[in-house]
Amino acid sequence: MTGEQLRELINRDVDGDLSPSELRELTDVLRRNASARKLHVEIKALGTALSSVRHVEPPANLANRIRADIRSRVGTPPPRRTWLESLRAFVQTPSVLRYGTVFTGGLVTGALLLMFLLHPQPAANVSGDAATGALLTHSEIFPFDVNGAKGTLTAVATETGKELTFRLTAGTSTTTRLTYDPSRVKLENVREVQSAGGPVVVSAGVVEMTGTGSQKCTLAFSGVRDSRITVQVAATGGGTFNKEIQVH
Amino acid sequence: MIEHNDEDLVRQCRAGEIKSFDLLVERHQRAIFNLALRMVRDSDDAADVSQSVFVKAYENLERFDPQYKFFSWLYRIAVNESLNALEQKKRFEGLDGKDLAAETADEKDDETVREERRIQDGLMMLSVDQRAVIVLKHIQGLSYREIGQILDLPEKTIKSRLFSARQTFKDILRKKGVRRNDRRTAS
Repeated sequence: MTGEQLRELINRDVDGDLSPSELRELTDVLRRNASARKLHVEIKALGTALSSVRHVEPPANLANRIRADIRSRVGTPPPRRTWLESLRAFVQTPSVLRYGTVFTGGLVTGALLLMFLLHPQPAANVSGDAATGALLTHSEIFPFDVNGAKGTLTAVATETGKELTFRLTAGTSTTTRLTYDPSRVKLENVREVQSAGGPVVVSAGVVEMTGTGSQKCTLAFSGVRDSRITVQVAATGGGTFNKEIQVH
Repeated sequence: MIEHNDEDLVRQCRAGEIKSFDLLVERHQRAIFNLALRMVRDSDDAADVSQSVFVKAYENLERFDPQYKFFSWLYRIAVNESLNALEQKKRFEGLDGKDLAAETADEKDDETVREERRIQDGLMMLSVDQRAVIVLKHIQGLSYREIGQILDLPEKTIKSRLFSARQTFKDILRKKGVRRNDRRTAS
């Protein structure tokens, strides 16, 4: 038996993978070979040490974070029609509806084109709930539309309510995170920190807004005071979305 | 209450029952978090990886092949996401990583903490490919076949990689003060 074969037998024995005849063969070698015995003991001890590593409980809010993230990204269930199925379904609809859909689609497209030509640089259009004093209980999703850049701001609180995680999600895949922990002001993914004499302003990662041109957005904390946090989403093309959250 | 298996839940989810996916999250979050934790070490990063894993799984559920086990597919995403997280982390090297052993040390004695820290340190010094097989085998308790499905490699390669990883790990534990290694080995 070569050294390589012996090493394999020892390893497979540790994994409980040997047949009775292989086990007899290994036992015989171990009885005669002191260095093989030493290696066997070492590999077995390694396996025992690794297997004794205890599993750690995930953060209490992990499942909620996942749920909130999924619901904020995909409002609809995963199964989707392929383009072929959609085309087939469209062709199978009654002709009145079909021609009606094409006609209406043409009208809407024309109107949008006309609006775009008349207003090439529209004023910042900011919408979203900017109400103050919203009490954050567990996790909340705030959709925003900043100057045409759409996305969601997800705020997730831990069980104790001591830590808040904000996620800015734009398009389908880009997320940035900023965590505020009142006990030790922990910030992650921070690119820039500014302090201008007043409240500390912290800017988090810049997020590319996919599907909305080349817009970029920033997520920032501003006015962190008492138990109220103002979160601001700002688009580089102009416009901001503010959300003030009361933390208890 | 009826206990549904993973395949039932995946089917329900594909039919539009988003709550079925919540049950899959509840069921697998601990295993995925621990896999990520042993791969990336930092618990915040591991939570982020876990979140990405489930989001990606949900978004790509229609691509899941039911002839495989759902958890194998989930683990495969988790390994890939952990590798991505390690790559990203390299760019932000210098950020504080939490001491994993110390985090879980509340009710343990110093000897146990030291031993766990030694093991985690050793894991971080393995190449990520070797780390993955060690974690999947010893910490997740999977078979060669399951690991092969997760890493998309033949069982023979898994065995060979596992055996050499053990040898390297054994040598690492003997030494002290070796640097972390997030490089990949050639397959």
